[in-house]
Amino acid sequence: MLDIRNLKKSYDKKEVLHGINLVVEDGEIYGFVGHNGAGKTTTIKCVVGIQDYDDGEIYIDGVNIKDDPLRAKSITAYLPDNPDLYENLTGIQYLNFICDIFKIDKNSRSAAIETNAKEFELFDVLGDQIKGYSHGMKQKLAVISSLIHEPKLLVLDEPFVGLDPKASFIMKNKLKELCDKGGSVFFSSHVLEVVENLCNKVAIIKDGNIIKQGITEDLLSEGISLEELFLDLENNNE
Amino acid sequence: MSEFLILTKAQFKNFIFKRSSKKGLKIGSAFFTFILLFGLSIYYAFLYIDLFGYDKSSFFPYFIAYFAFLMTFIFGISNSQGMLFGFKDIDLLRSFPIKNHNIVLSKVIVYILIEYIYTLLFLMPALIIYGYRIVAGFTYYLYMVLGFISFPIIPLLLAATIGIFVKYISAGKKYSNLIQNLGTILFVGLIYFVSFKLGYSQGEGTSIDASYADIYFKYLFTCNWYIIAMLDNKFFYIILNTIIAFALLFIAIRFYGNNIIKINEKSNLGYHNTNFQFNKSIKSKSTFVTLLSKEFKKVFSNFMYLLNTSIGMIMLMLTSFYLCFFLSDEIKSMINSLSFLGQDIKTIIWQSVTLIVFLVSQMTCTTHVSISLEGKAFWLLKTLPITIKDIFISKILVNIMIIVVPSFITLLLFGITFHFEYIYYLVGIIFIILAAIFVSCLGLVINLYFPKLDFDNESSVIKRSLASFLGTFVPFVIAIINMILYFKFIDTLNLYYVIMFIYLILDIILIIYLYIKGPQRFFYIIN
Repeated sequence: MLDIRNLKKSYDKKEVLHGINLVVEDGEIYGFVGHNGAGKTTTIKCVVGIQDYDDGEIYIDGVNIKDDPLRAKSITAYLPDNPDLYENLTGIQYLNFICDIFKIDKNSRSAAIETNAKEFELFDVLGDQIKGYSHGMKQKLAVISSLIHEPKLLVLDEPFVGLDPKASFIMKNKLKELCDKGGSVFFSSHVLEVVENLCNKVAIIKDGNIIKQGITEDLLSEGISLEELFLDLENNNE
Repeated sequence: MSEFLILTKAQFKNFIFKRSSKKGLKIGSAFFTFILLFGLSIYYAFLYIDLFGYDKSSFFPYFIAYFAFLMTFIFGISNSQGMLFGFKDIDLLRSFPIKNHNIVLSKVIVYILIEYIYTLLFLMPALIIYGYRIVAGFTYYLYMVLGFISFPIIPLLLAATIGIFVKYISAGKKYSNLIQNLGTILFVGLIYFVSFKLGYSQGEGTSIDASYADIYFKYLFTCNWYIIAMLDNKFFYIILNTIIAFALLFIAIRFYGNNIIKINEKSNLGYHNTNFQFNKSIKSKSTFVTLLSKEFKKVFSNFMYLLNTSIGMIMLMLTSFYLCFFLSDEIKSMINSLSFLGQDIKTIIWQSVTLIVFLVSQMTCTTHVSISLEGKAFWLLKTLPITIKDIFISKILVNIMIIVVPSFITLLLFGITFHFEYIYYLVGIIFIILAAIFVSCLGLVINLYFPKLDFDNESSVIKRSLASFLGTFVPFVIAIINMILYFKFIDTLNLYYVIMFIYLILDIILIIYLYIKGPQRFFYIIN
């Protein structure tokens, strides 16, 4: 579903990604962990088309994102760590906007919005302006907008920040549901317990290089936790 | 240091020294903007000083004081929303052990300090030139500086009062932005209309200019005191002005203090729909119409954006209504008195209307900050499956419509009143469309090169970004060059064809540029 090949990216001549290679298969939940400034968000931004990259290739469902960005974007959804939305719109106006962009017909959108909004307990405030929403409510609205068009690939940057425990639980189930239908999830997180319990595969990035990646169970086969593995790798690579 | 001073200092620093990745460019552009406005101010001073004369009894210094008062008032209205209500630190500040009125006072002081810059530019160069011409003594300059300290306070308090009232009636309402925009436009329109009416009624039997002077003399008495103090060495008037201004400021802070905090809270909470009907809310549009309506909403739901980019066209249309419905006979007789020029009334009116519309259209640009105003939500445009071409077209089309619709109504009103021939409508509208495409595309190109996505307050983008300055200034200069060309080689339609051809070429260049280079530039913009 997602194939990143030798991805390199520089900011002002300083290379921050030194050739990332990573494959997320269909039906996988892939966790991406690393310390602050390791290159997680930069990698994600390159995948979803926010940032250009210097070298390498990114394929989403076999589509090179540079060759056909619209096709790649139409099957992808992105949820940033701190979703800034159109504050003057109401929740429902924002969701209608997203549905219009993804060309979702009236009946399908009605059902999708109603189901998701009720599950995330946002249905009653859909008529309110987004600027009056709390951080968690904005996060929930962004989650709904990312799920509404049933993407094949869901890319999330710190998705559980700001969500209440119930919303986090629903969110995890939604990610599993998406993968059961053949979709894939690629997300970054600092909450290692969540990554350990939720992800089929994990990659650890440090200073723009992937220092460890593989099937979660294999990586943690010796009874160590992801946290211990992460700290061990961090210390050994200094 | 008192809490008020600490707060004001922090607010002012935060406002002035915003983080910028291109510090050199920012300082350079600010300096360039200041020098340019200063230059324009000097140019106008010389222009009007010759018109009014420069003896001690000249009306010139009064005219400049009235002008500076009105400009401070108008700029104050447009800035009041952003500077008194746009702040997002209210929750943080209220959690500190600071009194509410000190929070408000610090905001008002920063607002006034920033507005001083505009007043300074409108007032000082002209008064210095005038002082030099009349060989004024030391006290003239001393009182000029001392009087300046209180000068902007009254117009700014008036502006803030209107801003607060409009915000008060609109905050938390469903169509709060619409109410805010209409309310302010109605207020400004009312002032405009009353001043027209008073000027006209008092102007019967005298010249309209003289009657305006009488009205201003009667109502803007603090301006008169300021000038009289300078010219006649009357320090008493400076003291009087200062006492009145600061007393009003004190009363306003006491009176508005808690209201500003409450309105801010209400406004930040947004609109709550107590009667939300889900099924009625589900609406479907095509992608392009969605983008277009998003851009329209952005312009018409943002008071400052609308006022700074489109108010010219709105006022032009309102003035046209007034002139065509109430003053058409007077215009005809005035134009008749110009018959010695050898042209018929229709041609003169058509030329005047199209040139004024053209000039205003070149100052009407929403695109020069439209990318910047995406702000922190810019990630959405980049990650959604929309072509950059569609994004550009939607932004350009909105500006074209904002220009063309009022322009056509204006042309139509004058055309019906003064019986234009069809060719005049045709040439006029094509001319305006070409000019509208030019200013819209140029604005977008400028914003692609000078985006500012990271901001706390939209006023810093709409009023003080390099893109907003260039987007207003560059088309205006090009328009002035065309006007000079026109007046130099006045030849009715033929010259219009030449200017239209020039704009056609410029439009094609800009469109090709946006098509080829635009997406690349768009992609490089990161927030």
